[in-house]
Amino acid sequence: MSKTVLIVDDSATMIMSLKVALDMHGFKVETASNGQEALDKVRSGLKPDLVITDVNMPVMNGIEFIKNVRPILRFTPILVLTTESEHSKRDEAKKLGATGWLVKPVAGNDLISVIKKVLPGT
Amino acid sequence: MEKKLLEKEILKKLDDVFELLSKHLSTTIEVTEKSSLELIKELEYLYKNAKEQTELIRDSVSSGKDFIEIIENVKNQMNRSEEAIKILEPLIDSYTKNLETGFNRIAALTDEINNLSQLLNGIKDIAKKINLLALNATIEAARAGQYGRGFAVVADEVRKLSVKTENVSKQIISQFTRISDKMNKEFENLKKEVIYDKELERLQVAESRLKELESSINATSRTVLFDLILKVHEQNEVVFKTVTNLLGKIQFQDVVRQNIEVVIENLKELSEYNTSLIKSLVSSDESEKPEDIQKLLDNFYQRYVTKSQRITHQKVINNETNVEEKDDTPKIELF
Repeated sequence: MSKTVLIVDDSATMIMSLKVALDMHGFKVETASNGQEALDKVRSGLKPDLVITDVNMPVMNGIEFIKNVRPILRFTPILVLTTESEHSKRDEAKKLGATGWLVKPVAGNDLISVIKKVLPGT
Repeated sequence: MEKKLLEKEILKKLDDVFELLSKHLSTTIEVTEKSSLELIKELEYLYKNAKEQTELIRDSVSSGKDFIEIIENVKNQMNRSEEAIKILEPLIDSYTKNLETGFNRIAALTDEINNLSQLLNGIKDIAKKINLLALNATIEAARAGQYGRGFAVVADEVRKLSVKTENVSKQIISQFTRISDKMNKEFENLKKEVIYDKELERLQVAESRLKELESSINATSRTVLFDLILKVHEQNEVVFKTVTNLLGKIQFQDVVRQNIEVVIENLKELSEYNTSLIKSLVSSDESEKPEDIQKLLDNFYQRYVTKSQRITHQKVINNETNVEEKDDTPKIELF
């Protein structure tokens, strides 16, 4: 059975490119354009196997989203994929339970390798 | 009054300039985003076609596997045929030898019948001669008159016996001849019907044809079909990897968008600052004085999201020429 990845990003380009790349590698993809929308989906019962989130987003940013979603998805890997290079934000994400920090742009095959590392059995 | 009008006019112009620059930058975001989405769609189309082709190839490989199974079955069949031929060959040899022995026996029997016929012919000739002698004896007995009467009776009986012997011989010869003819005919028919050599030849031809078929199938399937399938499959793997990487590289548009959005935000604040500055210039009121420009620049700095934005700021605003331009932040970091 294919694994589900929740992509949280306010960029249409990001959502579309990640969706196609993940679909190519056999993943099922769910999307949300900000942290709040993603949180609502999880609260409604969505149980993704992996979350990929941006940091700088309207309504609810990625850091706030991790803070709110981690108590619900306790063991789900959360990868932060962002343009943000500020060390303080990376450290904060790590402290809140993020699994990894990736700075855009990341080559598709590198991203797939990271996903395979954090999602055993894929 | 004139000063106020001038202030309004300048402020209006400045607003227009801000609006213009913001629009240009927003349009840049829209254009790059639209182009990126179109590019993603093209990549998706390329990937889906490659995927379709791969699925077709997988089906072909599957059919190829069926094909190989058929070949294996044919091979097994051929092996069984060869085994059957191996079993049949000595049987056919044995059958042939037995048949030859049978033919020879029939021929010998026919010869014996012919020999017996000749012997009976001799008996028939002797009977004819005895008949002639008995006739002569009867004539001589008649000449002897009454003295030869008893002899005449015996001669007549001998003659009758010889006639009987001749007739019986004729009948036996006739029967032997019929039997011999019949046997010869049967023998010839049997020879015609039992074309054992041709049957064997057919089996051998079938064996060699099966072997030819095997090598032909092997040559076609293994060297051409599978090479082709493998090459196309490999090419599609390259397409998948390339498309995946391109989909990653397209993320540059999001980086550009965020950079431009920061510039738009900063321009907006700069515009507000300019408004305050102009107002303070035309007014004697101290409260109209704009805030420190350093605060404005600090706000700019806070909005940056990439290291390159911060480096540029440090170099241009702070004149820090020794700032390390290389972004040494790890691109991928797992905690």
